Amino acid sequence: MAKFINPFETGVSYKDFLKSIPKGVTIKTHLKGKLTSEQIEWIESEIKNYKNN
Amino acid sequence: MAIVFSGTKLPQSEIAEIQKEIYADWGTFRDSDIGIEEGHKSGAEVYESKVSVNMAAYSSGAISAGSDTLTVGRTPVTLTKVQFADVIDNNVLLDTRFERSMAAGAFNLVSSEFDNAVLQDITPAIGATMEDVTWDGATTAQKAAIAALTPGAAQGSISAGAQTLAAAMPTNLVNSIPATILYNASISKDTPGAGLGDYKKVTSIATITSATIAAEYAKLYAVIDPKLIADQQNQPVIFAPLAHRQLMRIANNSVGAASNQNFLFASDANDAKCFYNGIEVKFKPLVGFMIASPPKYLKVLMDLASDMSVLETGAMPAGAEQMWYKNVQAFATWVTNQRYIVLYGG
Repeated sequence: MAKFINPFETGVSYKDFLKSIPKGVTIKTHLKGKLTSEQIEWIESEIKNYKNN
Repeated sequence: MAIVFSGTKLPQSEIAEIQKEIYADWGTFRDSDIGIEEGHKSGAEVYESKVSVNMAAYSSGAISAGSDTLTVGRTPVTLTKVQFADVIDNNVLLDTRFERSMAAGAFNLVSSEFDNAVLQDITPAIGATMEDVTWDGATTAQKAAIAALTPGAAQGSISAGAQTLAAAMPTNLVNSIPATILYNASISKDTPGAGLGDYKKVTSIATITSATIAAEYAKLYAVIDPKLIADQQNQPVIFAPLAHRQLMRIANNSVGAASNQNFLFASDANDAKCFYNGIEVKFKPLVGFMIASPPKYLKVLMDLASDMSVLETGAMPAGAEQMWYKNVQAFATWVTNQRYIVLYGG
């Protein structure tokens, strides 16, 4: 199993984080239990911005 | 007898007062809410220093070289010269109320009423624009530089939300304070030179509404360096978007909720001073961002702050019955001690 990449860890870019998510798994599911729901919501909105930028 | 009227009917009276636009003055320059640094025409050097010392075991012998660090950094900041200027053709004012205040003689087109009621508003309009550009907007180059940064969630990286906000900023000739915080070329940063600012960001933020504003301010407050909160000589101030005043009032007076006044207003007046956990909140035309910082770390460099209200006027040459006006200013925003600046939304 691939090592979990915490997006809040210093030096982790969104590009690296997205690459670490298994295909077909949502960000919410991937982060559930690993981050708080507030953090997950923010990361979801950040990734939305990241993809649109 | 029937009255027979032929011809065009015209209004026979007017409302005496000319209804004016509001030219907002948010106090940035009037009250020096941030560090207004005057006396710079084209460029200035900003020096920052930092000393770190190390405790060592006592020795009665001669002192040898230690590992203390006395750092001084010098960063050049370039001011941008901008102008507000145009040509006015008073001939356009003929056939309006302003005609009455023109001196007799076909050559005379200057209307004293127009000068007093409309022309004099150029200066406050310039002031309002300078307030806006100080708090929102970036140059094309700055926007490109911010867009090129690598986004991430951790401290030390720009958030994707900040890049979205920066991209949506008005494109101006100068950089606003938030744009300079996000990207600058300070020599005094951890990584000196052009790149991401050394600011602290607030993570896991949410959309600010009257229901969430208290929680979001709590997140911002928690990130402020305790050293600043304890420093009575250099107290931080929260610079917040204008609409937050209303959201705070609504939150403080929420219908049906238990009294939970997170924001303390000095009075019920609409321009009352506002505090959050003892930190003054000042409302500025910021968009999306909030800044918590000692005011003197946020700088505007100018030649003279009063340049803002100097409007030169004159007649156009060669018999033209037009007049020109021009206002010239030198301007740049800058930030120092960036590691202590919290940029909510950054």
